[in-house]
Formats: sequence, C-alpha cells, structure tokens
Amino acid sequence: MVERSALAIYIAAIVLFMMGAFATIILPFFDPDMTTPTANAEARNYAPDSPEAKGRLVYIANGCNTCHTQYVRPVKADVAMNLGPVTVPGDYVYDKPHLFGSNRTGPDLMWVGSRTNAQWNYQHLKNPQKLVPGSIMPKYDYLSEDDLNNLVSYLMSLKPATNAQAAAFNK
Amino acid sequence: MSEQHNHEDHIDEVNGMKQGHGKVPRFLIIVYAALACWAVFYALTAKGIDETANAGGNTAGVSAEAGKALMGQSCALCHGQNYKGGLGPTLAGVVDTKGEEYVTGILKNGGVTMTAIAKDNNWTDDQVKSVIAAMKEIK
Amino acid sequence: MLSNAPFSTAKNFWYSSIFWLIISMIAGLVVALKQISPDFLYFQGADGLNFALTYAHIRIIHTNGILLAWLSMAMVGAMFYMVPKLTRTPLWSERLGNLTALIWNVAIAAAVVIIALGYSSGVEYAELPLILDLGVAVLAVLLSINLFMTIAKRQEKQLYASIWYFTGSLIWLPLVWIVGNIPSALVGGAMQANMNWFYGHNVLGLWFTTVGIGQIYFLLPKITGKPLYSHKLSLIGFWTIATIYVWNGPHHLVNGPIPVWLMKAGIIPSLLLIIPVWTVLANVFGTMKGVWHRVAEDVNLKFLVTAAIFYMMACLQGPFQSLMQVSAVVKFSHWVVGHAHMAPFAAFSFVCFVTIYYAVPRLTGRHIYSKALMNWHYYMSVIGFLMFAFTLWIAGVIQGFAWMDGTPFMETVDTVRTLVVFRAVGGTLMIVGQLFFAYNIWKTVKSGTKISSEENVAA
Ligand code: HEC
Ligand code: HEC
Ligand code: HEM
Repeated sequence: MVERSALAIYIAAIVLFMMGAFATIILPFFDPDMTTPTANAEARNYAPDSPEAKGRLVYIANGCNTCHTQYVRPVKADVAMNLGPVTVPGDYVYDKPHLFGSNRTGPDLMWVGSRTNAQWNYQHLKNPQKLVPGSIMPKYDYLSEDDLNNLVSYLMSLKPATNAQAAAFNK
Repeated sequence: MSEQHNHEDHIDEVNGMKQGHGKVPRFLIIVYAALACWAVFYALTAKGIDETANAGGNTAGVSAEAGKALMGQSCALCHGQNYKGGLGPTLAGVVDTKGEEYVTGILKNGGVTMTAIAKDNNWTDDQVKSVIAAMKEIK
Repeated sequence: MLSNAPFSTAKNFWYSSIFWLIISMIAGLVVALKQISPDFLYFQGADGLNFALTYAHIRIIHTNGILLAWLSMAMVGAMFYMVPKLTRTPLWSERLGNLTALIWNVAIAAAVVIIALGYSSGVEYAELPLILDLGVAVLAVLLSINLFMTIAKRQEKQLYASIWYFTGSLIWLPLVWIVGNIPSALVGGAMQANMNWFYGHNVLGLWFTTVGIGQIYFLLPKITGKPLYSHKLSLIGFWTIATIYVWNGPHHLVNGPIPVWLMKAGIIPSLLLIIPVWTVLANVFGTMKGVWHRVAEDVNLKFLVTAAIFYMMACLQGPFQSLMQVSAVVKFSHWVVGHAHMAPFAAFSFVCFVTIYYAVPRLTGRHIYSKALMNWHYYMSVIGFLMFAFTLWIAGVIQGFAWMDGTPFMETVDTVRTLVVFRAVGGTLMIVGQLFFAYNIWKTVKSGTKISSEENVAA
C-alpha cells in the first residue's frame, strides 16, 4: 500500500514526472520544426566578438527583455500592430539564451531593426521621453558609449534576412 | 485500504490527524467525466490559430476580390494592416507611381528584404494580376 | 554556533522569510512606481547607481525574492515544523537544518548583489547565474536528506496526506530546477524557452502548490478540530496533480513559436487541472461543513478559507487564459501579472501566514501579541490585493483589445496609466499589511504574554 511507504510515493512521483517531462521536453527535440535553422536564424548567428553579439549582452545585462518580447504570433493583435512576419521556432536556433520575454510593457522588438534607424535608437535609449513623450521606458544614458553603440548595432540587426542572405543560406 | 471500512462516519487517525471517509460528491464525478470527454475532443480537433489569412482564393481568373484575399494572407504583416506602411513601405498608389512591370517584378523576384512571394507560393500569372488589381484599389 | 534546539530550524526559516518578504515586496513597489514614472530612483549622472537600480534589476529581485526567499523559505520552515509533528519523530538534524537556513540566506543575499550588478542569465525566473543555480540545487538536496531521514525514522507506518505532498514536492523540486536551469542554457532558442517554461510552471505547480496544499491539509483539521473530510478525495487529488501538472509548461507559449502539437500538449492538461484543484477544494469545504460560523471570529481560519477561494479563482483563470483564443487577447498584457499574483500571494502566502501564526505561539509559548493587528493584516492584504488585481485585469483587457485594433502603442500606455497608479496604491496596502505581520510576529517572540499551563494550545 502506497500510503505506508514513503519510498513507493517517491518512485511513483518520479515516474509520473518523467512521463510529462518526456512528452513536453524530450519529444520536441525530435521535431525538425524546432531544430532546423532558418535564414533569419542565420542572420542572427553573430560572430562572437561582433558589435551585435556584444550588444546582445548589453540587452541581457540591462534586462530589456523584462519589458519587450521578441516573438510575433499569427494572431490579430500582432498583425494589427504591424509587428512584421510571424516567427517560427527555426528563427531562434542560435539565440542563446532565448529572449522571448513574457510581457509587452513596450512593443515587440523581433524585427525592430526594420522599423527604426540607428540614430533614432541611440537618441531613444539615452532619453526615451524626449523622443516619445510620456514613454515609460527607462533612460539608458548611464551606459558607456561603447555599450550604447553595440546595443544599437544589435537592435538594427533585428530584421528579416535579406533575399541575398536567404539565397546564400539555401545553398 | 482493505482493513478500513469505507463508511461515511468512520474516522481514523493517521499521524495524529483525524481523517474521515466522506463520499466523492456527485458533481465532481460529472466534472471529471466532462473534462475527460473535452480533452479527447480537443486533442483530436483543435488547430492552431492563423489570423493572418482572410481566405484562400482561386488560381484562375483575375479579380480584385481574389487579390485582396491573397494580400490579406501575405502582405499585411510587412506592409501594415491597411497597407499604409509597416516594415515595408506603403502600397497606396505604388502601381501608378512605379508601374505594373516593377511591381510584378518585385512580387516575382522579391526586393532586398521582401521575399519573392509569387515565386515562393507558386502563384499563377492570374493571381499576380489579381494582387495588382487589388493594390490599385488601396486608397 | 548552530543551534540544535527542537524546531529552531523552522523558526529560523520563518524569521528570515519574513525579512525577505518585506524586502521583496518593497522591490515590487519600486517596480510599480517605475512603471508610473521612469525617473523614480533615477539619479542624473550617477551611472553605476542607475545601472544597479534599473527597472529590470529591481523586477528580477522582486520575483526571485518573493519566490525563492519569502515563499520557498516560509514553506521549507513549514515542512521543518510539520514533518516532525506528523511523524512524531524529532527532526533528523536540527544542526543541518540551521546550516541549510544559513546558507540559504547567504545565497539570497549574494543573489541580490549579483543581479543588481547585471549578471543575470537573462531567462525569466531562472535569472540566477549557474553558480547560484548549483547552490540552490545543493540546498534542495540538504533539506531533502534531513526531511526524508526524519520520515524514514518514524514509528507509525501510515502516512498522512500532507506527508505525501511534502515528499512529492521534495523530489520534484530538484528535478524541475535542474531541467530549467542547467541543460536549458546549453540548448538555446525555442527549445530553451520551452524548457524554461517547463521549469517556470512546475516550480509553481509541483513546489508552491503542492507544499501549500500539504500545509492546508495539516492546518485545517487542527484549526477547526474537525477530521479531514475525505481520505479518498485526498488520494484522487494527489495522484491527479502528480500526473497532470508536469505537462503544463507549453501553455506559456500558446500561439508562439512552438509546434501546435506542443501547445495542445500544454493546453489540455491546463483544463484537466480543474480535477485536482476542485478535488482539494471539495475536501476543504467538506471539512468546513458545520464550522463556517467560526470563520468570523478566527483570523487564521479567515485567512485559510480566503486562500482556498483565491486558489480556486486562480485555477479557473489559468485554464481559461491557456486557450488559444483567449491567450490571443490577454497574453503579454497586464492581465497575466494580475493572475501571477493571485495564487502566489493571495493563496499560498496566506497559507504560510496561517502556518506561522499557528506555530509560533506553540513553539515560543507566547500568545500572538495582537489579534487586532492580525485582523489588520488580513484586511489590508485582501483589500490591497483585490485592488491590485482588478486594476491589472481591467488594464490587461483594455490593452488586449486596443492592440487588436492596431491602436498606436503609446495611446494604450496612456489609456491604462491611471490603472497602473491604482495598482501601486493596492500594492502599498499589501505591503502595509505585511508590516503589521512582521511587527506582530516580532512582538510576539519578544514580549507576547506567556501561555499559562492550563490553556492548552499545544497541538
Ligand atoms: C519599463 C519597461 C521598459 C524597459 C526595461 C525597456 N523598454 Fe524599450 N520601450 C518601452 C516602452 C513603454 C516603449 C514604447 C514607447 C517608446 O517608444 O519609448 C519602448 C520602446 C522601445 C523601442 C522602440 C520600439 C518601436 O517599435 O518603436 C525600442 C527599440 C526599445 N524600446 C528598446 C529597448 C532596449 C534596447 C531596452 C534595454 C536597454 C529597453 N527598450 C528597455 C519600455 C521599456
Ligand atoms: C517580409 C516582409 C514583406 C512581405 C511579406 C511583403 N513585403 Fe513588399 N516589401 C517589403 C519590403 C521590406 C519592401 C521594400 C523593398 C525591400 O527592401 O525589399 C517591400 C516593397 C514592396 C513593393 C515596392 C514598394 C516601393 O515603393 O518600391 C511592393 C509593390 C510590395 N512590396 C508589394 C508587396 C505585396 C503585394 C506583398 C504581398 C503579396 C508584399 N509586398 C509582401 C517587405 C515585405
Ligand atoms: C489550474 C491552474 C493554473 C493554470 C492552468 C494556469 C495557467 C497559466 C497560464 C496559461 C499562464 C501564462 C499566461 C500567458 O503568459 O499567456 C500563467 C501564468 C502564470 N501563472 Fe498560472 N495557472 C494556474 C495556476 C497557477 C498557480 C497555482 C500559480 C502559483 C502558485 C500560478 C502562477 C502563475 C505565474 C507566476 C504566471 C506568470 C508567468 C509569467 O511571468 O509569464 N498559476 N498561468
């Protein structure tokens, strides 16, 4: 009788846990949709010391992902907000760590590089309220010049792969 | 549990805690059953949402209607909900200013960023013409 | 240096958890104020300070502080109290327990500093860097050894429902923690997000929820003096939660970049969770039959019943918002934040308050210093929370529909601005309630009136 043996509870608890873990964690590894990179993923596969890669670290250290998501869903809201193409798992294959985010205190940034330009981003990071009155985004004027420039490079790289990139990737 | 009588008023003590043997309420059993049925039904029938599309569209015949359906499916995400610009530029008046040939070209071969939509989706010439007809109607 | 006195571990966990509760809630209030005015706690020119106090760092300190420091430590304290009580066996090692409490506090303090310095892994709820992840895993092992050894040494063979829940939680926690924090960082991308939410969900469902229910099953019969309604319901509730909860991770990525089959594998169990939840509630309400009148006079019972009700609400809201069509509206909005406070605060924090109010007099031999303060604690917490949650739910629905209309982003920010202010007011009430709590417990321990030998509060 299970209620009399702590060990039996222990083992049953592990077995039930493993079933769920297998289905939701292990099985996805066998779904090619989850694991095959796309041209967009390739375009974001930054070389380790590139400004974009460093900018991504600045993005993480300053927790931009607590207010900004990076994924576009095939739902009315995302279409209406002009967020750009719907993203698929393959777009993120090289995202380490992933920066999906879970809250849109600010707009989605998946393809923000094609909506904004470098100069605007630089000014906006230093003082969001000056460019967007009433914005509740924090000021990032405390970042060093290097960090800011790297961060801007990273933001500007957030755009769909160009056709040239896609063609090169498909070869 | 064999040595216990499953009697409502029977109370036994485990680890100094008294516990009774109340019945499982009937409405709970109904809830269990209803959820189980729903789960099977949902597992078999549910599909992912896709609200980027309006409709499919015929492959033959030229009409602005068919073009609109194709555009809702493929262009709104980048050119904005009313095609007034988003990630890509506005499409209002583009056929007049840049010419039909240019637009056909970009649909078939893509731009710098824009994908070669007509080619990728194997659109027929009629479908491309329908899209151009629809584009002309964007004010 | 480390005390070996009976139940000193439980007390030390509780006292530190209350300290972290106050700190983490204040961090929460700072985040709420920064959402009203981004210049709050911003000091022109003080670059290092601004970096340390930037919105994201405070938010991470808030979430991790509440979950890992307040709620986890309070629950661990509860297990260190309840397991020996139930098995009628002294804790295997109070010294080891106190050592665990000490390391835990040091680890949390280190985490606060590390996060403020910007060394976050960047993954929500798993922000702590690898070295601290390993530290937490070691802590979980230390406390499991201690509690399992206690259970193993017991005299009576039969185990009460609370012990099943504690046993399950202790075995699931390290597994969930490891999947979410260690291999997932090597994987990256959508796969990592999926593992991340496997962890993010199961730490709620197989740790906070299950320890919390174990506490409820202990407290309810003790406080009401009535037997737990049904042994069979306890069994059904436990085994269904153990079967279903693990599958829920993907419901956090509904409509997102994961395959549809995986979404469905998360959505179906979300609705099925109604089974264990209602089963537990039937047990709670069945036990309450005939003693409802006592709720008015007993603050502990008031807290406990309120917790059960909020638990039910959270678990009606959860399945609802996991559905694709609903998620398409509320996801990413303030709504989710409202939901995310209902179970951890208004259900399981309340349960921990009751545990502490119940146990401290029995362990210190002193009456709770002030019943009036307890009442104030209750009303501030409930009213503050309702104000907090309803403003967020309303704001979330407004945001969701405005986005579907393609309203320019800043227009929606402006629309919900007043609601965000009310959220901060609700949050302030919640904190004031906890200050009463902390003060009350402190006064009880220091100078509560002694319980005379005729009064028999000891359980
Ligand atoms: C407190 C939440 C918050 C944080 C943290 C935050 N942002 Fe924002 N962000 C916003 C809001 C709100 C807006 C919309 C108003 C505006 O444009 O300023 C925004 C807008 C933006 C935009 C313009 C997007 C568009 O489509 O117009 C960019 C780019 C951006 N943020 C980048 C960042 C970066 C990079 C960081 C981290 C260094 C960051 N944000 C941190 C709230 C935040
Ligand atoms: C992946 C995003 C994307 C999608 C999807 C897309 N476009 Fe484009 N489109 C662009 C971009 C970006 C440009 C600007 C040229 C470039 O850089 O590619 C553009 C340019 C154009 C132009 C030329 C505009 C000009 O002023 O030069 C036309 C016409 C056009 N698109 C039509 C369409 C139509 C019709 C569809 C749907 C069938 C469509 N596009 C789908 C991104 C997209
Ligand atoms: C039947 C029970 C529950 C279900 C089905 C459920 C479902 C969900 C879903 C679908 C989300 C994601 C919302 C979104 O981002 O779109 C969510 C978020 C959340 N839930 Fe629950 N929930 C349940 C109970 C609980 C409980 C018991 C707790 C706490 C102990 C809890 C705490 C949270 C938290 C903290 C989040 C926020 C995660 C984030 O930051 O995005 N929920 N829940």
